[in-house]
Amino acid sequence: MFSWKSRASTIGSYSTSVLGGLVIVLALSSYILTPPSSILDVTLTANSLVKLHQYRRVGGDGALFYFDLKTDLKPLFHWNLKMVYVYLSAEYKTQRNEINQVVLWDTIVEREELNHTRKEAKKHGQLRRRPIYHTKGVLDLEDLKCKYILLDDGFNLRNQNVTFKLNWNIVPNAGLMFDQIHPKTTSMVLPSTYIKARRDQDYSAEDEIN
Amino acid sequence: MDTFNAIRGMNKREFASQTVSLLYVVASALVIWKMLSVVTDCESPIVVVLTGSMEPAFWRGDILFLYMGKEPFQVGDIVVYKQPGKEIPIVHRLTTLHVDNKGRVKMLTKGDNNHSNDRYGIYNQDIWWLEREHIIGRVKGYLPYVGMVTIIMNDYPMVKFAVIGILAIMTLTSKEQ
Repeated sequence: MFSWKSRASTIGSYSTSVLGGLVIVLALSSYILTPPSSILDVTLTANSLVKLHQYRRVGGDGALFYFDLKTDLKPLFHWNLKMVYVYLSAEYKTQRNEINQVVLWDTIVEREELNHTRKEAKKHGQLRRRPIYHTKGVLDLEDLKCKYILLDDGFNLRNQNVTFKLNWNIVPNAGLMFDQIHPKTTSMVLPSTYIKARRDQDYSAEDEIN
Repeated sequence: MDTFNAIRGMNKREFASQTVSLLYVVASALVIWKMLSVVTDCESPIVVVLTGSMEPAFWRGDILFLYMGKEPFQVGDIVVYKQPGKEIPIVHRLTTLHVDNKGRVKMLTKGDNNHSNDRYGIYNQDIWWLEREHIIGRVKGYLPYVGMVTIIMNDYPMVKFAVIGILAIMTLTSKEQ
């Protein structure tokens, strides 16, 4: 009855079930603690379009944008939130494609970074091999160059009305993942002709080849 | 030595009944797994992260719960895809999505920790867009560390055999009370 085996198994099973129960409570708490996406105060403007090209090798039009983005992500964070993946997406409709969605820019904000000073944050970014765009969860980015070109599936970007949205994906410490889209969007009608890069830093060898 | 005595002291009937209960455990585990497959619409609804390409979201040894669902794909979703001829499924984030008027889906993925998308280097040579049939699941739940057990068992098969053996013996010899 009181052999080492039964003791070990009792302790083992009891602690696993307690731990499991706690994890479930933690996971469920996300439902209550996650605020609606409208809690964030977001300013997002498409600052400029700096080039619109035909990328023949990849078979599509490409556009490069600059943005102004301002928001404070701190209200999103609660005890069951490990990191948020914040991303700017472009959405548009073409004759052939009902839905086109492209991520133009993204960044990761980890919970532990929220208390970092600017210097600590930089060090943390080097460790993770990625740039840190925020200070204590606040994104204040003016004239931000998109990381990725908006590349169409075909040559339909001229005269195209593109809508930009700020989205984020919540990764918990344990539990369910959430996707949220901020209700405020901004849009831009692209010009009717192709334009060469307006800024020197946006020329690339690829533009010349194409 | 206790366990050996326990086995030796058993009569045939007792041994048979314990074997049945062991088989019962194995069978119910299988049933639960297959049920999960059906409910989630994923062939393997629970996967273990093997690489660091999604750091810091997912680390090696974390467990992911997959669920296919009916809702349409969105950029930012984390999907699991498997290419023909490749054994290991890959967990990456959707960064580009085109759905044409007939409902055909074209996708492009990227690991959070990678510098460029998967088209150059990860996809097979003949894959330009990822399509619906490559997707085997969408990540909906996350549990850290627990998958380390499977990784250790895969890296050191002896550990696996030892654990299975010990569990089998314990089930066989456990007396009903």
